[in-house]
Amino acid sequence: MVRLKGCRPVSNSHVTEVLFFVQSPNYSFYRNSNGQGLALSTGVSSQGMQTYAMLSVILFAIIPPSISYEISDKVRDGSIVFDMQKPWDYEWMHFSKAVGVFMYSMIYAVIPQLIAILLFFPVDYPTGLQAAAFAASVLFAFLLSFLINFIVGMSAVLFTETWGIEMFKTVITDICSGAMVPLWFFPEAVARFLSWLPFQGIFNIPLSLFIGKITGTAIWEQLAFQAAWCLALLLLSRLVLRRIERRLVISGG
Amino acid sequence: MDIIIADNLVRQFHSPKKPAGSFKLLKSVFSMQKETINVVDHVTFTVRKGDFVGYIGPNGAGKSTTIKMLSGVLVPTSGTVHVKGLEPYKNRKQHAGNIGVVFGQRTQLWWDLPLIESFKLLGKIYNVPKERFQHNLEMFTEILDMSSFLSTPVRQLSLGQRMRGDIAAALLHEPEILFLDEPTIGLDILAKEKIQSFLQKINKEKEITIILTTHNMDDIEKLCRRVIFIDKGQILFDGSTVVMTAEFGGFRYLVVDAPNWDEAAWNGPSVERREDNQLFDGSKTTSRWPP
Repeated sequence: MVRLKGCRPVSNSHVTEVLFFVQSPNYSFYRNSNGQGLALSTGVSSQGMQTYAMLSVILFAIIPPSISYEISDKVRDGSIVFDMQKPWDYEWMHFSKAVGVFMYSMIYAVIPQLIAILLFFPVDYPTGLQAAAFAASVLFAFLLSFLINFIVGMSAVLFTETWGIEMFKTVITDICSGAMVPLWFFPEAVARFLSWLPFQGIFNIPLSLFIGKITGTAIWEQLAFQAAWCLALLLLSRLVLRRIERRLVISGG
Repeated sequence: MDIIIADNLVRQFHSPKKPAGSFKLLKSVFSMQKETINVVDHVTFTVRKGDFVGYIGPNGAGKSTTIKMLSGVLVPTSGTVHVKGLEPYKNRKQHAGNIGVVFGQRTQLWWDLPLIESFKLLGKIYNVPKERFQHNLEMFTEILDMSSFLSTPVRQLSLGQRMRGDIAAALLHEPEILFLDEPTIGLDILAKEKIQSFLQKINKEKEITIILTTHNMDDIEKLCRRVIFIDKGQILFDGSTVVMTAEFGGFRYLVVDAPNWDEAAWNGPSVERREDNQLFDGSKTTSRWPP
C-alpha cells in the first residue's frame, strides 16, 4: 500500500482509487466534489490528471515492442547467423525496425486516438515552445525505451530463456516511468530516487510537459536529462553488443 | 593469390559440468565448473582465388563452426582469419559484401514473403545498384529455373526450390567468395544436379571462390578440386580430390545378399568378409539394410 503524501482523505472521496490505476482506458481517478483536492496537494488539476492518464495510454503505442523473444528464438534455432552476417550494424538494424513500428503506430494508433480525444474530451493541449518540447521529449522517450529494450534483449543471447528478465523489465518500466502511477504520487524520497533513473524519461517527462507541469527553464533541464540518459544507454548498449557478440554460440548445422 | 587465410584457428565452446551425487540439482545452480571443448582446434589452411574446396568431416567435426568464423558470425577464441585481407568479425559490414553464405539447414529468405520480395529486400540490404540487381535476378531466375515460383511465399516452396532461392539470394550482391554449408542436404537427385551444375558454372565463369561443406561424396567428386578433411576440430587431410580418392577410396565394396550362394563357383574379385546366414537365419526374418 502506498501512502499518498499530502493527499488527505476528504469527504466523499476515494483515495484508494488512485492505487488501482491500471493500464487500460478505464483509469480510475481520484476526484472530489469540488475538484480541488488533488490540485491543492500535488499541483496538478484533476483535468491535468485525466489528460495524463489518457495520454499515457496513447504513449504506450509508441513504445517499441520487446525484441527479447525474437532474439531468443533466433538464438535457439540458430537463424541469428543471418542477422549477424548481414552488412549492417546489429543495433542499427533493430533500431530501424523499431522506427518502422514507431511510424506505423503513429499513423494508425497515436494520431487517430489524439484526434478522438481532441474531439470528445476537453483537453488543454500545449502550444508553442511547450508543444515543441513535448514532441522532442516523445522522441527521446522512444529512444530511451528502445535502448533499454535492446540492452535487455541482448541478454537473451546469453540466457536464451528470457521470460523472467523481460517481465522484470516490463514491470520496472511501468512502475518507475510514471506510466501507471504518476511519480508525484510516490513518497517524496522514492519520487526523488526515481527521478534520477532513465525510466521517468519515458512517460513522466513527456506527459508532464504536455500537461504543463514542467515549464520555463525546467523544460531544458528535463530534455537534457533525457538526452544524457540516451547517450549513456547508447554507450552501454554498444559495450553490451561488443561483449555479447564474442560470447555468441551457435551450434548445430 | 590467397583469398582466405586461416591461421591456427581455435574456437572453444563451454558447457557447464554436471555435478554428480546428492543435491546435484542444487549444486548445478552454484557450480561454476565448465567443460571446455575445442570445436575447432588449431586449423590452418589457405584458399586461392577461384578454388572450389570441399570441407568434409563427420557430424560435429567443426565444419559449420569454421564456416561461421569465416563468415564473421562467430569470434575465434584464438588464431586469425583473413578473408580478402579483412578480419571477418572486426570488419563485418565490409566483409559481408564480399561473401555470400548459404546454410542448408536454415533459410535467410523471409518465410511469409514471396521469393521475389525476399530478393528485393536483400538487394536493398546489400545496396545492389538497380540495374545490376535486375540483371542478376534475371540471370539466376533463368539458370536456376525459378520463374515458376518467384511469387510463391517461401513457406510454400519445396526444399529444392527453397534451396535454389537461397543460393540465388546469397549471390545477388555478386560476392567473390561463397560459403555453402550443406547446400544439397535433403535434396533429390534432380535438384541436386541442378544445383551442382550451377555451382560449377559460377565457379568457372565468374571465378567465385567456393567453400562447400557436405556429407555427399557425390558433391565432392563432381565439384571440388581440393578437399579438406576435418575431424574433432583438426585437419586430417588437405589436398586434391584425386589424391584423396586414391588414398581413402581405392576400393569399392560390393555387398551381395543371395540365398544359397555357391562360393566355390565364384570367380570374381576375392571375398573380403562373410556374414553367413545373416539374413536368413530363421530367427530374424526381417531383412536388414545396410547389413
